[in-house]
Amino acid sequence: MRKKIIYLVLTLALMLLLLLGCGNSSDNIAYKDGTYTGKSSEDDQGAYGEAAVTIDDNKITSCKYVTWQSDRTVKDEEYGKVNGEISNRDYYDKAQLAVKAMQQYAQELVEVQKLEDVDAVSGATIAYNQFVEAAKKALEEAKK
Amino acid sequence: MIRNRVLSDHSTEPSDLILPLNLINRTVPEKMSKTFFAMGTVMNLTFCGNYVQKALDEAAALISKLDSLLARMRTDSEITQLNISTNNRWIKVHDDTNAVLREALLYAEKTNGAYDPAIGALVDLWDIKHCDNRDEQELPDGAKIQETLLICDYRHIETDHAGHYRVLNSASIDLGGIAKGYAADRVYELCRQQEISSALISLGTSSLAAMGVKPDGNPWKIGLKGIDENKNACFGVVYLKDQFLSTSGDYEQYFMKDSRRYHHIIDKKTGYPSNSGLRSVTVISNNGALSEAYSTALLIMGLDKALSFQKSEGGFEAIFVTSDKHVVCTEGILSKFKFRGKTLGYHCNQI
Repeated sequence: MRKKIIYLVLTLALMLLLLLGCGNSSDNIAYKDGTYTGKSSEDDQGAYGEAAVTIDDNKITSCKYVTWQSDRTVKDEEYGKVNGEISNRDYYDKAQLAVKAMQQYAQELVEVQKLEDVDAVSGATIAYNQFVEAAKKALEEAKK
Repeated sequence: MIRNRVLSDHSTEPSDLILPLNLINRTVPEKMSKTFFAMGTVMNLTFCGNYVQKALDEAAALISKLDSLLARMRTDSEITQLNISTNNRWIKVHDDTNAVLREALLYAEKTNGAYDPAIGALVDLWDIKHCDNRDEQELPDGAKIQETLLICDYRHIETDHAGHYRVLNSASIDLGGIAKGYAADRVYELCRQQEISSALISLGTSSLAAMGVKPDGNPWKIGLKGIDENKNACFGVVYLKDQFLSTSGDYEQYFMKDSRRYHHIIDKKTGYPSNSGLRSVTVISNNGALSEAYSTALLIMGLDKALSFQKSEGGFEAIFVTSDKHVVCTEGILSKFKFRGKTLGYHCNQI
């Protein structure tokens, strides 16, 4: 369950943070302070997920996720109860790492495409832990 | 406030502001891209034609909806509902879920289970997608692997062929080996219905679709990534037009133990990650779901069986990379494939 929660939080954090600048060629992306919300498409029953990420001084300071039913009641209390506590340092750190890595990944992909003179690169599926790992490497490099 | 899952939109051919907007939309084809996160990975869509922004938005919404139906990691998906259902209860599923499951069961049957949508319990046991450290991972208990193998069988997924399914014997459906391919099919279909003249659809880099040709009249150029995880260089290029391409490989999601690579593609015959001598398989066909399912199945089969299967089954072409960096192409793809791996240490064999 814990891994599922981490996965969900990372997914949302990536989704929202990428909204804020992935694909930008600059390495130093400045995020505007504020709270950004993302809403998933509705399922057949009209239920949807909504996430909110708060940016302060170019960092995520909170991330909350709630699944709503069509009548605006919370669909699953587990989401709100657990993911609402994203101030949890472990989740927070992973989300931060993933965001950094995703930016790096997007930039690398563009560079590879340019270098190889292709329109797209195909390979094994990139999964979220690769972004985290790439971020860890980048941070380790930065410490040297 | 941002209300969509959109990461970035780039218009590469800005409209001429002198013309009325409706005239521009009808006469000046646009080329736009959209990058966003779904299905646990990065999606990139490039569309050319008229009303491109609308088509991009609809495609992103479609992928998001498919994700919500098919993702095992989402507690509210239809696949999760099937996996947790008890008492052999039949569940009516959405048309898209029905279509994916129907294709998944077909390809499982054709590949004799090399591709198996009921592999979920083994995927969970190995949990390679979520391993945090590639050098300090423990192997699952051997007895537990054998026990889990028993429930990983696509024949435990039953359908009444009218949109109802049930899962028997605690099997767990995992559509990770077909869902992106199916999504590529659906986005391609959406483009056909809209005023999109050409498109390049890349879902997680593993499933791609090329609709039509590029605005300059040339086919889309798809670079095939090498098997060295630290190198992004491509060993070849496939020229793609109105076709789907999927790649499966062992070099992105894995951990190392005693000098052996344990990756995310599990061979159901052994319960362990595939060790067939193939490191990467790319399948090109007219069907995205088929391409994705077969790329996994062929990697598990190994080169000889995969080539026999390709000859007997037909309807698709393949490019294989062996563990000693031999690139092997089936005959039908040769005219569309350009090998560039010599300086990277690859050798190219033609069948």
